Amino acid sequence: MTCFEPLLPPDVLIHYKDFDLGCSMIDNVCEYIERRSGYDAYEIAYLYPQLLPKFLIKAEFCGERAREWQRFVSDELTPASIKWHKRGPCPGLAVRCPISHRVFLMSSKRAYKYLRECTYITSAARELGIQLWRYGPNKRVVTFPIERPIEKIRAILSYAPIKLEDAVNCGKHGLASLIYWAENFAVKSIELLIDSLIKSKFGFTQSIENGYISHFRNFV
Amino acid sequence: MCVKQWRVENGEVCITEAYKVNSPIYLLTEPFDEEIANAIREWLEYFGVNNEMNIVITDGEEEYVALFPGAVMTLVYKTPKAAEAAYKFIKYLEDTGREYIVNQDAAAMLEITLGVRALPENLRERVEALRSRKEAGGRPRDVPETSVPAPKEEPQAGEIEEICLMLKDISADKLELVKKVIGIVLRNPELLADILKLA
Repeated sequence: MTCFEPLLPPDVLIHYKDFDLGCSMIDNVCEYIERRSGYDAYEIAYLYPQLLPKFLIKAEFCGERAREWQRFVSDELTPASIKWHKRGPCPGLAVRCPISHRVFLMSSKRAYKYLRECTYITSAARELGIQLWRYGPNKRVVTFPIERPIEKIRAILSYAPIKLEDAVNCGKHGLASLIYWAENFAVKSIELLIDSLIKSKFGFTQSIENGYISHFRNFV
Repeated sequence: MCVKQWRVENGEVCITEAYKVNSPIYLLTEPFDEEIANAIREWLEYFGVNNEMNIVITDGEEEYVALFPGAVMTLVYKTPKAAEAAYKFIKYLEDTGREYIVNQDAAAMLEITLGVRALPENLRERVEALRSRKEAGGRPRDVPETSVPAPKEEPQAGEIEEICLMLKDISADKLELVKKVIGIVLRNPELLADILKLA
């Protein structure tokens, strides 16, 4: 059995902005997902990121990131995110929302446990008619993998906007990560890690936007 | 070690005590209660078994599991088409009104791998268009895939593009969404005119 040695955490799979570059830095995990699912890894990651662990269920991981990936596959990730540095005073943000982009890397059942605590997201979703879960007989909650979660979060944030800087300044780190992800199709922590990996390997700061991306396809 | 063993149409069945899962498992059902017990009991009748048992459907590589609360015995259904059999089991649960005990993640994964749930084409291009519009300074006003709120303001250029993109990608399961989009368009003559111009 091959042991994958990713250089980045599993969040890279929902870092759509530089998806191919990210894939090149996680050994052959994307190719493995493609073999298992029969689809392009990007498609699965964009449409149903919550299913990704299921396609990796037989994969083995080693290296520094092994533990994170094993936690991802065994559905033990938490919404913990990077710590954002305050840039100003908190204007007062009366929302309780203990989630981050990472809930969309969890099984639907586990994601529900976090999502239901974020009334800001759930009430906006309800008003927009976006289903994050549904109810079966006897009001039982039926959870399901949310299709295109980034589009749903973007719709919710359009409807009930929260500024990224407000979330940051009020110490809502998870929410800030979620907002950044939805606005930029990018995970902030992954951007920073990719930057530092490229810097350490090549001695300069990457600039994907300037067209360097193809040079890093075979990064590992 | 099988207590009892026999052949069925697409493989063989083994009833065993203390089955040890060898490979990673896919749980087909939610850990609920009597309802699962009833569902599994009924499904087991297909194999001529009436006792309460866990179910393992396996092709030797993958193991799809439905757990019967409290069951000691396990029915192991060995078939080269384990994914198909597991999907049939899920469909059986849904068709008998027990969708809510189905592990929907497992169901979606099976639908994708078996090709039952088709994925849209040109997804990457569409996402890239959405992303570049945002980067070009457009306000991120997005229309959700599953539901669209009634517009409260004049439509923005981005909204029109998005609706056009969505209309290019209609499948049967998007029918409700399309109806809602058309509803919005019909309520807004200016938006309709803009779309006709783009078409």
